[in-house]
Amino acid sequence: MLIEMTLLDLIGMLVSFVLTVLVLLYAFDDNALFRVAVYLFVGVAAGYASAVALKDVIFPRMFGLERDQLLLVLLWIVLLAMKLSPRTARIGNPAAGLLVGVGAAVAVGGSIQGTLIPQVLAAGDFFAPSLMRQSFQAGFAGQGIGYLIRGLAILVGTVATLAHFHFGAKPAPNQIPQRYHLIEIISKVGQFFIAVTFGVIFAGIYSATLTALVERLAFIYQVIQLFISGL
Amino acid sequence: MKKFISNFRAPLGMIFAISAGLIMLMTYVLPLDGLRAIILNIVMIGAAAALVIGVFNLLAVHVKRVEEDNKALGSLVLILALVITFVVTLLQEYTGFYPDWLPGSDWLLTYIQVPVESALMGVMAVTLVYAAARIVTQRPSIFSMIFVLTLLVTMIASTQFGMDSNLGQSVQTFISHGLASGGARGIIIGVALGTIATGLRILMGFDRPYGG
Repeated sequence: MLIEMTLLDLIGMLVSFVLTVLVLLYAFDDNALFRVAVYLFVGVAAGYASAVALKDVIFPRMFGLERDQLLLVLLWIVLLAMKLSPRTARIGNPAAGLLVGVGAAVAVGGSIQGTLIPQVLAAGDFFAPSLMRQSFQAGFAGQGIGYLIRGLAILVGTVATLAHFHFGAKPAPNQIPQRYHLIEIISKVGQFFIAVTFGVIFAGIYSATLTALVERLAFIYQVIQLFISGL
Repeated sequence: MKKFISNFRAPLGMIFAISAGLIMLMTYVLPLDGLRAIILNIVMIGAAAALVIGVFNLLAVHVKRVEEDNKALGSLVLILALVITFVVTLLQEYTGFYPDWLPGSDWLLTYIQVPVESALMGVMAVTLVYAAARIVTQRPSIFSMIFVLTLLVTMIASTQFGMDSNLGQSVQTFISHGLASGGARGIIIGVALGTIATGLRILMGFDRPYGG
């Protein structure tokens, strides 16, 4: 098995074996070797991200621009680079402002078109009369009622969760401002839904991390087995 | 020179941010898809350039750390890894003579990036159990109990035993696709509203994250 591998693959396997062990050691205690492995990880990630940004975004898109546009974009990039030094950072403000302004507009437009409207529309999906009619006509009245209950649970959950994050309070003289009583009650219901949601999300993340842990432990076992059998 | 630099303070940045943002917002309302594509194309170059500038800043910070402290082994490793990965990835892309026997960007990703990333995820499995246990012991409340109960029910329902049982499946569906969907939708809408509020504050000039 070891003979079939190239030297580069063999070195790679040993490197990833050592790195995996160093990172997993963190489960016992923080140590300097773990931090070195993380520095290596950050270095490779940052180097790769910047190289990809250059080769896949900046160069291909810049080559498609006309000469005047190209000069403007180059000037913009130079101004952005001014932010690197505290002394010249002010010169870069307009360039950064342009980037932030467009980013903010894209975030606002994207949130309305991509999240707010679809989510609000989807909240009413379970109450669609056509869905009820189809279920009742097909003789599945229970299914129709099931849809209705699920839709109600989702609707109540959505409204109560949003109400939990409502921090408007009624000011009162010589008293700490308090929320309206009705909002307080709905907020408690919202807290229940948030606890359930976080529980489900936590379970999903835990399953994923456990899978990663088992995969890494299996890798360590395989490498040790490979070397024992290879020798 | 100082006066020249002070002219570039926040007002100019704010004018650029507000005008660019309003033009961009207009393209969502009016039929100006072509203009939106041009702006996005140019801004994507700027955003990518900002990322590269940020990485150079990271590099500069760690070079300074190595210069100041000879024992900064982590910074030295980061500098070497960053420079080697950057050079190797660009050399592989733009030159036809990169030798096969040298580790390329694929090698770096397969044998360094992926193992460290999944090992970090593996470590997270341990810390998550610790965090869940701490919630129960240190902050016991009705909601932390609901959280842990949901976690346990969801985990049991996702095992073979849970999947084979009709009750397990029904409970799993009701929790995941009913109760949790409501909470998740509320959180998603809340995040969207927060994003809109933050974006509008920037477009109105109340927040100036670009400086000043």
